[in-house]
Amino acid sequence: MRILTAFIFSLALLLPLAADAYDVLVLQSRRDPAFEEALAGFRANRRFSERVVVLADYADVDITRIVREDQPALVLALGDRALEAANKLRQTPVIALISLGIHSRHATHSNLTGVGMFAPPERYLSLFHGMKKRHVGLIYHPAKSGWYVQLARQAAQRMGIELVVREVSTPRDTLTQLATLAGKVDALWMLPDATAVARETVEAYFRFSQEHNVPVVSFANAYLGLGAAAVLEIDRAELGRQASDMGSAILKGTEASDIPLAYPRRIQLKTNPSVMKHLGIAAERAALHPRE
Amino acid sequence: MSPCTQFINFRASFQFKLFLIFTLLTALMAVLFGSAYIVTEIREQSIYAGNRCQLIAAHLADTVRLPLFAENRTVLMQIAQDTARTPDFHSLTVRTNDGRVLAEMRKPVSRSPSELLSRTVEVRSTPLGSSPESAIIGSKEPVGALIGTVRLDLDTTEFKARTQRLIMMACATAFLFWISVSSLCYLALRQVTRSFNALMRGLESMQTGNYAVRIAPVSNDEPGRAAGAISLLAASLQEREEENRRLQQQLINAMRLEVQKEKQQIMAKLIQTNRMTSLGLLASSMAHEINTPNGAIKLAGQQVAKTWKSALPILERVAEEEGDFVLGGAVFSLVRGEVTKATEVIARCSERIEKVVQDMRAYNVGGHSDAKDRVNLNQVVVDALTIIRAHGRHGNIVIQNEPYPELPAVTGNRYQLEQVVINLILNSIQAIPESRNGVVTIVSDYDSLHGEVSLVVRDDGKGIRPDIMSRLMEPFFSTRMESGGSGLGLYISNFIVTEHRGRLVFESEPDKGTTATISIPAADNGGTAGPDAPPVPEVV
Repeated sequence: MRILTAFIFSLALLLPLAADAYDVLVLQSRRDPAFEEALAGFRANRRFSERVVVLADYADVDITRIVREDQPALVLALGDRALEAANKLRQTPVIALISLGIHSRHATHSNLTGVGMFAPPERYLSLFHGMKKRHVGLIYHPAKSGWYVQLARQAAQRMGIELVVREVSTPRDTLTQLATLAGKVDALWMLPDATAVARETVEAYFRFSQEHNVPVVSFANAYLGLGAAAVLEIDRAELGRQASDMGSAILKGTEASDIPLAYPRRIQLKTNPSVMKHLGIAAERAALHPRE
Repeated sequence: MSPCTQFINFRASFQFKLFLIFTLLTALMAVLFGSAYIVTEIREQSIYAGNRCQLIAAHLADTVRLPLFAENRTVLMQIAQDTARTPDFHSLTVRTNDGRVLAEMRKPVSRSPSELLSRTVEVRSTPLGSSPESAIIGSKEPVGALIGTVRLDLDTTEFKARTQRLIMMACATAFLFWISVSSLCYLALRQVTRSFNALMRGLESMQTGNYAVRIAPVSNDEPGRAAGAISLLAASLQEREEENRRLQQQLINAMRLEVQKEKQQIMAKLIQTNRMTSLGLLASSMAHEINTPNGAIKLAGQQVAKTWKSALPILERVAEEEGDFVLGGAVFSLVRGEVTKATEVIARCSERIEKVVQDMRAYNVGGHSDAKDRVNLNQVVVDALTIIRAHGRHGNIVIQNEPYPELPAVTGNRYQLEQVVINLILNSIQAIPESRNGVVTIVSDYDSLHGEVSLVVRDDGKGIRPDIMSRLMEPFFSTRMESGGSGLGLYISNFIVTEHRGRLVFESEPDKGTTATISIPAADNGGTAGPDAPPVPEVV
């Protein structure tokens, strides 16, 4: 009787596994509304068969083994930790979302594609232009954001804006470099660079903004409360939909290496009216809207 | 009153006790409230100092956040120097999260750890700040990243000195409060107890017996009203006391009069007794004076009778021979019988005189108290009646003697018993008013059953009032003190009868008479009265 019971129990466990063939392995860094929002966007246009693994739920997850056993058509990595976990995958296409390290890995991983967290530099520069800011300070880590700064320089040159850039290799350098920007810039551009913008140094941007009366334009809504004059926030649901399109293309046979990294399609401008008013740029708000 | 006594009285006074209670309570309250204030204030000061130190350290942590992260020692030292201007600053140490000291500022004054108030605050990145990833995702990190620590030491010597000043100030305030309240309490108590003190002074005066004092009403409170009531009471007591004094004086005067009267009566009795003693001596002397010539008369009479008897035959022969002749102025035939009778009369009268004298002497001497003779009460009655007859005051009173025939003798003193009988008969005679006739009956009897001889003296006089019946036997009690009564007759009579193991009983009814009964045990041999006892009734 016991043998029969064990057999039935094992069958009940194994049968679902046999039927668990899916297209997309979703690696989610942790349970967070932002990831859920992006995942919802991913699922919005097309229903992929998927398996979701939340990495924060496990102490150690062997993604390679899961991919080898499950043979998913592609891996959707949500967040830097998920991208780090998918780092060993070389064959299975990986679409990365909400990850700051995607650009640094893209060069070495041909199976990696996705949507970056950098808005097109033209958007920021248009914003500065609307604010009538011609000398924009920018601090970055060359390895992480050098590509973007290069593009930004080119775009700025076209728009007649001088980018006063400072390179940092550690977060501690940010403070020193920020001090060097005093009197040389009339706006600060905060990049989603984990070295240039750290928890310890983020305060320094806004203190600099206060002390030198220059607006800070950042990339996330959270900084509006700290003193940012305006942010260009990425629509996370739209990120999911972008990834969904990429996934569909991959499932249709397109190689991941043929799909370049993309900028976010939809970006929202949000401003802090109080900060704008204090900084004397309330009058120029109207000029911002046409470019949104 | 000495100061010591005054102090003792003041210490025992109601005012002092109330003042003591108020003072102690006030002191207790001052100590309690002062202590509570000091403890609370010290605690508040400590909390304030701790919070201040914490606040300064937190402010420093906020200030040094970026320089510390940048490890900018210059800025850190500048911040430390600014902080050192704080009055109670002692030392400041800024460390990185790996323990390296980036800035340290210390005052040269050395303090022990107990004199320092220390706070160590972590320097963290602002919790509002987010990493780019967190900012993009929109998640909030609970705490900022640890950058380093700030340790701030404040010198507490000034705080302790301030605390000491606070304690002294609180103690001084409490003491002044106590003094002020105690003084006010004393003044209030003096005012409140004024009427009470007046009441007490009045009561103390009254305690010494001075009821003339009046307590002046000080106020209309309870003691004031009590003082008024006590004044009224004192007035009433004073009236009573004067009344008592007056009555006492009257009583003393009455007693003086009574004593004077009693004294006069006693003196009269003493005089009477003295006179009786003198009379006894006179009677004794008279008896002696009478007895001597009476003896001569008796002897002479006997001689005359003897001579006449021897001369008579001779005279008879002469008369036969010579015829009747004259002798002493009469014829012999007449004289012979007369002379014989005369000699017999002389003999009988001299014997009677002798007997009277003998009785008089015996009555006067009285004293054979120890004599235990066989006495016949009938004879005693006869002898008593002889004396009564000699007394003579019974003109219209009939005395009837009803002796019991063959009356047994009693053992005793015949003279004492005779004195008893005389007293009883005299009392009966005196009980009969002089204005009317009366009968005194003397009856002797023998109760063979009890072996007692009784003698009853009964009269039909005015009787004895019931209220004085119980006092008949008292010495010096008499209803005839004014008329010479000694008040000793019945007392002595009862004493004599009791000495003879008998009893004396009175029965009386007002206006109907009195009966006195003497009962004496008969002699053991049951002897009868002698042949000299006349058994026939005798009426005097």
